[in-house]
Amino acid sequence: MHQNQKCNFTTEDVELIHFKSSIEASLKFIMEQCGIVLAYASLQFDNHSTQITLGDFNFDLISDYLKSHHKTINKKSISTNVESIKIDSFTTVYILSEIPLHSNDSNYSGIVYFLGYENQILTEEKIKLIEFGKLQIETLANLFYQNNALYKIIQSQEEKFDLFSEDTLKKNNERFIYASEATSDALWDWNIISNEIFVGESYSLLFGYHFENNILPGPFCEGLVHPDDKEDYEDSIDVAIEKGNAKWAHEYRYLKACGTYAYVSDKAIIIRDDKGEAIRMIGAMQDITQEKLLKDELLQSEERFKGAFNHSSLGMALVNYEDKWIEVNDRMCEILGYTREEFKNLTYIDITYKEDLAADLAYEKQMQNGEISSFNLEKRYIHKNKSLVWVHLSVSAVKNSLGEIQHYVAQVIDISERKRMEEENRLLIEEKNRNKALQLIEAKNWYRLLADNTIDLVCLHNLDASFKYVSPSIQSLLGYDPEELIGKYPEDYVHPEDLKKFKKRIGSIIKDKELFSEQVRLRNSEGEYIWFETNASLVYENKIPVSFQSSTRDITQRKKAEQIIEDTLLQERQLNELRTNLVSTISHEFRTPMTTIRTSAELITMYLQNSQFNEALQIEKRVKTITEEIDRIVELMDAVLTISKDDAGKTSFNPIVCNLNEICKDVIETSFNNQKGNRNVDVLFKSNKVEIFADINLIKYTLFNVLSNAFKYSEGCGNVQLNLFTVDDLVQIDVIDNGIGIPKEEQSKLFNTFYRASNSNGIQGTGLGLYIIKMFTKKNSGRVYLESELDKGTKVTLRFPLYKN
Amino acid sequence: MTKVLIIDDEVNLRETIAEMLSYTGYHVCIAKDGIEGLTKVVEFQPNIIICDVMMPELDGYGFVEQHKNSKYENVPVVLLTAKVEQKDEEYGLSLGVKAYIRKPFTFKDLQEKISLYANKE
Repeated sequence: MHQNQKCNFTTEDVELIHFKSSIEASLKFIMEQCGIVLAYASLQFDNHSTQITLGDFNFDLISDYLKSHHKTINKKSISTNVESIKIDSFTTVYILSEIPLHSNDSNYSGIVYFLGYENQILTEEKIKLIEFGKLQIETLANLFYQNNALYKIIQSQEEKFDLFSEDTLKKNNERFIYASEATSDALWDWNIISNEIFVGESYSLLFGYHFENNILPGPFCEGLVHPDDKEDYEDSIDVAIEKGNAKWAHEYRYLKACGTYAYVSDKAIIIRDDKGEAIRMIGAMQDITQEKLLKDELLQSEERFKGAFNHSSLGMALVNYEDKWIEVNDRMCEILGYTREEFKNLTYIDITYKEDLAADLAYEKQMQNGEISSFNLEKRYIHKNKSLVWVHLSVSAVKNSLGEIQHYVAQVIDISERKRMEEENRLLIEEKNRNKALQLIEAKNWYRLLADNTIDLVCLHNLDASFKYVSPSIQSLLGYDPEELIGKYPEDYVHPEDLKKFKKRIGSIIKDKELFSEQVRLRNSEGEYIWFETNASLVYENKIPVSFQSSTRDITQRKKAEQIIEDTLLQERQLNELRTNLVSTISHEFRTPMTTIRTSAELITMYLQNSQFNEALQIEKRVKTITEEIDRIVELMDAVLTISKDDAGKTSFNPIVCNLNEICKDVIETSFNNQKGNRNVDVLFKSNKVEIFADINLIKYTLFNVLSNAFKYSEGCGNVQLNLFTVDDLVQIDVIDNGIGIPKEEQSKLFNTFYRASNSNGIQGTGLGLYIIKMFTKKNSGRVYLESELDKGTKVTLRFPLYKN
Repeated sequence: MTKVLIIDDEVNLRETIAEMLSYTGYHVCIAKDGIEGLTKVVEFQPNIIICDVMMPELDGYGFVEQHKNSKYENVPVVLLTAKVEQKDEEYGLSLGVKAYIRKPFTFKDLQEKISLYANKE
């Protein structure tokens, strides 16, 4: 509104009205900008009246304003030349009254403008209250038409005054700023003709765009609409405008400066000129992105829930607060056999098995009290076919934001199979246990039977060893009654000398789980002790020892037998000793008298040599016999003693490394030099320093005997030959004589005790020589061999292993 | 003349040996056991003692022990024995016995030992 624009008004005076609230400020502003003084009145419409009565005006305010602007005004009353207006309801109408700028102009007109504070939407038949500031003044009519609002023109006007010219717009923009300060919606004002849009502050805040003077070009704004929504958006505006609508609303996506789209709810009024052409739209955009997203999410989640609900392999149901089934899924129908419709007529109580109902109700109560928000339960439902279905039920409460329970979500798993198997299992286990019990009883019976009928004493003991069960055989074994012993301890009946080992055994059977086997003497009813052997072992039940059982046998006979054996053995040992000693003793005892005899004989010989007896020779001869026989006895005794000693293992045997050559020489020199008839040993050592590991004494003895035999059985047959040589790892000694030899068939027998070859008559011999030679040679790890030819001679071979270090 | 003390509990043997030695030129004294023997050593002061091992009261070894602790311990002892175990021999020799003669013996054996071991006059 240009300040210098003139307005012609009627002469009627306009009374001032008083301003109201925020409109006041705006109006004030308009007034200043437009250069016109406007005033409004508060009108009251009562429901039935068609009258508009003007209220009081606040003259003072306007007056002040005018005074400051060097304007004057007269208080006048407004002509109520208003057409009848049918108004439905109580509403506040602001009347704008124009006051002439020029006070000295007698022709001034005041226009009463009905300014609407949009708080009601009236139908088209009624007065539409215009939005604040949207005015177009019909200059030539009595009424001017503005967006279906009826105005009384008090004065005609020459020209339109366009409150919406550029300047006006600018000013109006500022108006918006105020208005938009009060709201978070983005207010916009679209001048359809110039296709410019003025936006409020919130616009920038919401969408992030800043334009100079807050004016956006129309195309730019349109370009911000999401391409998918653009068509609908444009169509709806077109439709609203063409159809002559006064209002428009649409939801679409709007591009924010940050690059993301916001969901927007846009509401606007369409302002038309008197021809009905839309000239302006003023609207407010609300960012409903959050809500939309939430709504979408909610929709999606509902979809998901629905999907899950319907396709779940568990039976699912929604139950309302009154326990009725609201919604069930297919699986639920399957499990319980009812159709969806049937469900809707039932409560869960109707189809719960009465025995399980109590628990169910109790849980529900707890949920209602807020004690719990969910529960699990195994229960039985009644299937449509009247059978019982075991299920695992899971229920949770769904609450609204106030915490009140809206409905329950129930999940149901059919566990009838599991229950059936459990039952089967239980029955099987019971059966098994019964069988086990029976077997156990049977086993016990068998045991009892055996125990009762065995000769041995069979007992069951508690773990502290006291008697639990004693077999009847105790009567015959120890003379007690079985009952006497129950609860008593076996150690009370054990011989004091055996008590220690008995107790030790008991200890280890319990502690170390060892088997018990012990011989003890037990006291019978007459106080006598009898030898028993007891075997005991632990008895387990479920791998835990619960008792132990013992089996006790009378071993008196066995003990006796053992004793006899021991005695016999002792006897034999003693006999052996005796025998060995005997030989030794005999030889002992015999020697002394033999010495006496011999010495006496020698003495006699001595006497005889110095005597003149006629029979001296004869006597000498006989005395010689005595001596010879004594020698014979002695030789025999020695041989027997030797054998006997060896038999008893008493031959001393001390092997050392010895030089065989030396030993041979030694023996020959000591005993065989210059034998009767000038006989000697012809020695041939093929090897010297031959060493063997042997007992020297035994070797000497052996050699002595071999050589002695050689001489004895070859009397008058020249010298005896001794050859010594080594063969591989052995040393061999050959003693060769040219004597009487040995008959072939008797050669092997010669090594036997007391064997004398048939051709040895007349030659004194014990018959033990070769036996001893063999014995001693063997002892020295050697072998003896015999080669002989009757009347030709004999070769005795000794072989010994060479000593190797 | 060599003095020989003969100790043996066997009366016949004792007398026979004594007679034999006497006849062959020895001065002989006899004792019937070890205890008498010890006395005779003092009395007779022999050049050599021929003693039996197996004797009651004091056996040959006992006699030797005591003899060796007496002031006549230089008189050599030869033991007569029915059994000859190496260990007995060793024992005897360790006590100071000069030799052993095994029963029954020849006169030659006896004479040999006396010649060898008797103290010279």
